[in-house]
Amino acid sequence: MLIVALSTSAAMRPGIEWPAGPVSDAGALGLPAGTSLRRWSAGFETVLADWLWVRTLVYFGREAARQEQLDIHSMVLLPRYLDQVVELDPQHLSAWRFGAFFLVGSDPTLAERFAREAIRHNPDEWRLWHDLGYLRWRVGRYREAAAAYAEGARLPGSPSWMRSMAATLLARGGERETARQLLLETLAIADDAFTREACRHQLQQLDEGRP
Amino acid sequence: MIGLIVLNTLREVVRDRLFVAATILFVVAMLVALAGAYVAVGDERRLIIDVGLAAMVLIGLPVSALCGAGSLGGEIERGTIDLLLSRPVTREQIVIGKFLGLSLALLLQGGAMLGLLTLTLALVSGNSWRGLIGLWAAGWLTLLQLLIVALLALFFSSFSTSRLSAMIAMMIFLVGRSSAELRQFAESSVPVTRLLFRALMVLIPDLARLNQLAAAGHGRPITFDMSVSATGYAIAWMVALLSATILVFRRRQIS
Repeated sequence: MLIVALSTSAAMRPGIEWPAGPVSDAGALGLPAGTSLRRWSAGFETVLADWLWVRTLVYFGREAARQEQLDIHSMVLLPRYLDQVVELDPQHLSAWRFGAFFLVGSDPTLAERFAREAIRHNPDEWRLWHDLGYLRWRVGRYREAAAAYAEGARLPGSPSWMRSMAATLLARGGERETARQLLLETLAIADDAFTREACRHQLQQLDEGRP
Repeated sequence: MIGLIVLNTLREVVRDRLFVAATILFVVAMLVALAGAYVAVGDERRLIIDVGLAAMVLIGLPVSALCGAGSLGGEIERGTIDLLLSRPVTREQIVIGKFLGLSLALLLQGGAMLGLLTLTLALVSGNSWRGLIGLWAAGWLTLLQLLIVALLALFFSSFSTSRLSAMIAMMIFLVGRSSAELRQFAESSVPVTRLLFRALMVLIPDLARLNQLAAAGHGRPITFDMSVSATGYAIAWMVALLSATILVFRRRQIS
């Protein structure tokens, strides 16, 4: 009965449109788009997302190990992997946060879109506002970064430093001490080892007086 | 007499090679989860819960379908049911006894899996009571899904072959788990298909309602009310399936 119903529906209305993925074609990974995978996962979408998340980290780690200096531009599959994970599981905070932190190094517009999508799916998560503020600060949009911190500070459970960070960014957005403060806070709430390592590296560069 | 049927069914299921293999497979799944957790540092807890609960379902599914179909269908196919029917026991008692034995075996296996999952979590990231209650609630609802599958297999095996019954039960499980997507698909289809799908959704248990894998993994609370209502829904389906099985088996001619 199911087969008959499915075939009838497919034959009578071939133009049913599934929503497209937010950023890229996932076909390059040899997999259907995350939204399709989710639809036919029979409730196992979070496990599939976990498997792809592990694949993302392995890909990132392997690529990073090949490079002398971390170059996100060369990691062409990274946005596609991250897309797959968050399409399957929009509550996968680690993937959203990882994307916002690292994609800003290659494509700030994409990173901003990623962070905004993350907030849309997880409106109560103050850490995502921190990520949005951080990536705006990275590209020198201090006023907008401060706005993101101020917005995040309103959420229940957000720490007091979110409010003070908003004020600091407005007053001294481009200063070294602000950078140190931001990186220290990012390091403290980082979900994964790669983000922590990147923060430590940037803090070390600050200590050595490099730009 | 019914106690004897329960005990015999429990013994048969536990001694089944499939049952033993499933338990070993679950241990392997937990080792795979630990390997994944080693890569995804910071996400260990979610990953272990996701893999553990999914493994409970994926490994428990063939066990409940095959054992469910085999416990009654197998006896009919082998002809050993005649021996049972020659005793002072009614057909209702046979079906209820088989179901209770099967349920006990599945609950024992599920409990062991949940225990191992809790232990793995404690070793990797420590356990908080709040998190544990969510995990156990999700585990309980998973077990209820498997019991419904076992009953579906038992029902179909009362008038069909055991292999076919197991296959149909597993297919219904997949459809039932995708009920939300199918409903969405039906709503965007032509009226005839929509009607067909609506009818189908009434005839098939909405197992997505019992699936709390994502909530447990993300540490979202699974409320008491929600668990009670889902349990009630599952029990209602079990009573309906058990009654249907008794009805069919009572009328079946066994030569």
